[in-house]
Amino acid sequence: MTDKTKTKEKLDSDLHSIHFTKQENVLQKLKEKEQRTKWHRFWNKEISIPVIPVSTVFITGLAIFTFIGLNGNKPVDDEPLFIEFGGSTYLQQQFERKIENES
Amino acid sequence: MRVKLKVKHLTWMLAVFLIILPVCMIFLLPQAELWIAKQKIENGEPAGNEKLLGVLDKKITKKQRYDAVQTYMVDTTDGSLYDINISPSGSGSTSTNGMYSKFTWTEKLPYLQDYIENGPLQSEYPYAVRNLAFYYQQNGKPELSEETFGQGLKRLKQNGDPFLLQELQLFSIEASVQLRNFQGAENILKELKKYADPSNMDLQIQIAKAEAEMQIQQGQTELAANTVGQILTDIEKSGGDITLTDSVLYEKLQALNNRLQYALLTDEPLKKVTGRVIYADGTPIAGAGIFLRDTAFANYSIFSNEENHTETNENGEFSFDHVLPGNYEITAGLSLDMIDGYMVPFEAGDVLSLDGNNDEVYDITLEPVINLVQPVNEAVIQEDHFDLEWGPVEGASYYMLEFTAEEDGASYSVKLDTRITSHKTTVELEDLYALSTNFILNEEDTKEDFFEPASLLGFSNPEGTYSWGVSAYDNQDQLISSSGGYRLSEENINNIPMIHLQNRELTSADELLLDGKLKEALQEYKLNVKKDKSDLHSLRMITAMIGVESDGTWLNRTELALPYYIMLAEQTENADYAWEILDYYQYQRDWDNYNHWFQQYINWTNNILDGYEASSHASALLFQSKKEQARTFFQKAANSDWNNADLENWFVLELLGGQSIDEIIDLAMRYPSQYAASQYTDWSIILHHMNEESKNRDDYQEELQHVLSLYIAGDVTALNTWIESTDLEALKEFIQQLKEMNF
Repeated sequence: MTDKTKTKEKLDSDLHSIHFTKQENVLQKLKEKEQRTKWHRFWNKEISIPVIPVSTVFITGLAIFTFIGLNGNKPVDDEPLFIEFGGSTYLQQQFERKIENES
Repeated sequence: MRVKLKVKHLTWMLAVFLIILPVCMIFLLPQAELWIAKQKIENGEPAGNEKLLGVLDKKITKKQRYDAVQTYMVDTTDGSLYDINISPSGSGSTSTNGMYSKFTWTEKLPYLQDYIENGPLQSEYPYAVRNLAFYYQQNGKPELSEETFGQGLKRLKQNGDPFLLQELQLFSIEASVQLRNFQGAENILKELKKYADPSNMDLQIQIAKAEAEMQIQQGQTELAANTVGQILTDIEKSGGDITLTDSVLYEKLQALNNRLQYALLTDEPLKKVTGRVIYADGTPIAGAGIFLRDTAFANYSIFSNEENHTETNENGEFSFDHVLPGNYEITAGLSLDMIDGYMVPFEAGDVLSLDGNNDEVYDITLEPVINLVQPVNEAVIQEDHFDLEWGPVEGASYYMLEFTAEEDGASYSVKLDTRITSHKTTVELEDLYALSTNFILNEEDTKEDFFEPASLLGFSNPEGTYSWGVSAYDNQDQLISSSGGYRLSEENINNIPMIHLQNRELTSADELLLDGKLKEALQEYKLNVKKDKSDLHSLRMITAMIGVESDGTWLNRTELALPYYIMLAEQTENADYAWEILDYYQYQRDWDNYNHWFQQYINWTNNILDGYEASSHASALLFQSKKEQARTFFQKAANSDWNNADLENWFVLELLGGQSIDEIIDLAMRYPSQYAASQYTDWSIILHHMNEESKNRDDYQEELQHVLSLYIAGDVTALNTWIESTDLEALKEFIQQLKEMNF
């Protein structure tokens, strides 16, 4: 019997009444640490953004939003609101639409 | 190009954005909405008003709110309280300033109240106060009306511009007078007079007018005449030293003076005018504005403060209780909603004459527009005639057609004389070609920006755009309705009466004309007539264009055109040409030719003369000393539509016949002149002065007979000598006014 084996036997007999029961916790802790590291990595991950495509998308979106917001409003024009024709008063735009439709 | 960012930085940025967004929604969104609402209003979109109301209570600044109230809710003239003002002389004018319609009282009331209480004291402020006070006054809350003025005056006295205070004080006096609170008006007037700058003549005139108005309403006509007379004398005495920035104010003062002078001739100077505004089916129109305006100012748009202004109550009724006698024109202020699909059957020359004897009733009925069936919507007419059809009108005795040459910027309308008894008819194109739309008086005319050579072609331009319309009349010749009205919504727009007349082709002379080569065109038309005297088109074009060769006077142009008018009249037997010819001969006092052409005129018009024509002929007979015949025609003119007639020569005739000046005053008061205004004095006033003058002179009758004989003989030189030498001021004024109107 070697010294090594003897020592082993001695240790076994000394420790035989002690049982390790927290394996679960250790494993859990290890896992948590791993997750924190992952998150930290993600949190500090550097992303590279291409300026031109992103700003194009952003500006286009803004433009569409503004357009919808303004309800397709035409800019103020100098066209008079009313038109007189044949002795009657019409709304200019309606009058023009009617003429266009009929002809 | 790329940028590098950590995820955490990107996340923080997003978070900040999400926190700022709601703040933006609360503070910035209203700004955007306000901007959008203003855009919509100024584009004339009906939804604009609602949008603005929606944003006014949101988080915008006070300044922005009051700016919007000032711009869109305060009306600085009485006329702009309504979308449209319609009167007999000016068909209808819109005053929405590009807005689709004005805000209703329910909509604007809380904002105006707030504005008056807390708004900035700027130039619109006195008007805002007046608008709101007028609203209360019209809605049976006189105490609120006075309270509003009180509030406004208090604020302006505390920290306002003295100019604005004076303006509001004037408004307040006028309103108090209307509410018959004379003591209140008197108090403010005293205060106003105390601080008013005596060298500010505009203000002094306004004060005098307000004071006179107060005296009139209290029945002190003579005192009012003195007040007005005094300031007029001051202005005249100053001999131009006083500068008036507002000449209309002076004209208004003169017109008021005329009306007061006239009122002094009657026993009961103040009259009542009542009426109702309803739809044809009897439904009353509430909240319509009604103005009673001196005919002197019928051609002016509604003033910022009209003396006689009221609104209809829930039964459509209105009344003016204390009006000076004189000639008035009614103007109705309506909203677009009220008038859409309707027309107001006003006719030019509809004058309300308060002659000092009777109260008057003036009802207004809005009639549905007549719908047109054919030809419409750009129909092209290639035949030498075409059929027309429109919706029949109940109670119509006959219809009359009107055609319009629609040019860019200007349009020319001509009524066909024919009375049509059915709702269909056929029109010959040749009859339209004969209608004169425009003519050149002199070469200067052709240099005006608005001059359009095509307009000379009238209805004979195959490239032109034309329209037509129809009016229905009852058996009393009263207008019932017409196709011309307000067609604003989709359901009322109906067919558009746009037509093209392509039965003829342009001649080479026409082409020259359209190219603007007027002289060359005229030469070619003349050449055409030389070759063929029956070339009616060329003859007509010569009469329209020959003014380019004239010296610029009416006489010279007519002289040049005369031979062509005679050729046209003889070939076509068209009464319009005969009138041109007889008018010229009357002016020249060439009575043989005048009588010949008058006879032709009568033959070709089937003996129907209107008031103007009858009175014009009566004058011609008087100038020929055919007194009995002249009297018959004057009576005819007075019995038809004397508003349109010139009856002053009737007074001359009767004075010559020996009637007393007193009797002629009665006659003149029965038929007050429609011209009696700022330029002309009513004949009854001059005659009254003559009557006074005659009491001091034994030889007055002889002098009168002498000078009237010179007048009817047309002896201008002798008349001028008499005018220069006489000391009879009233008679001189009578003769000068006669001369001005007739020679």
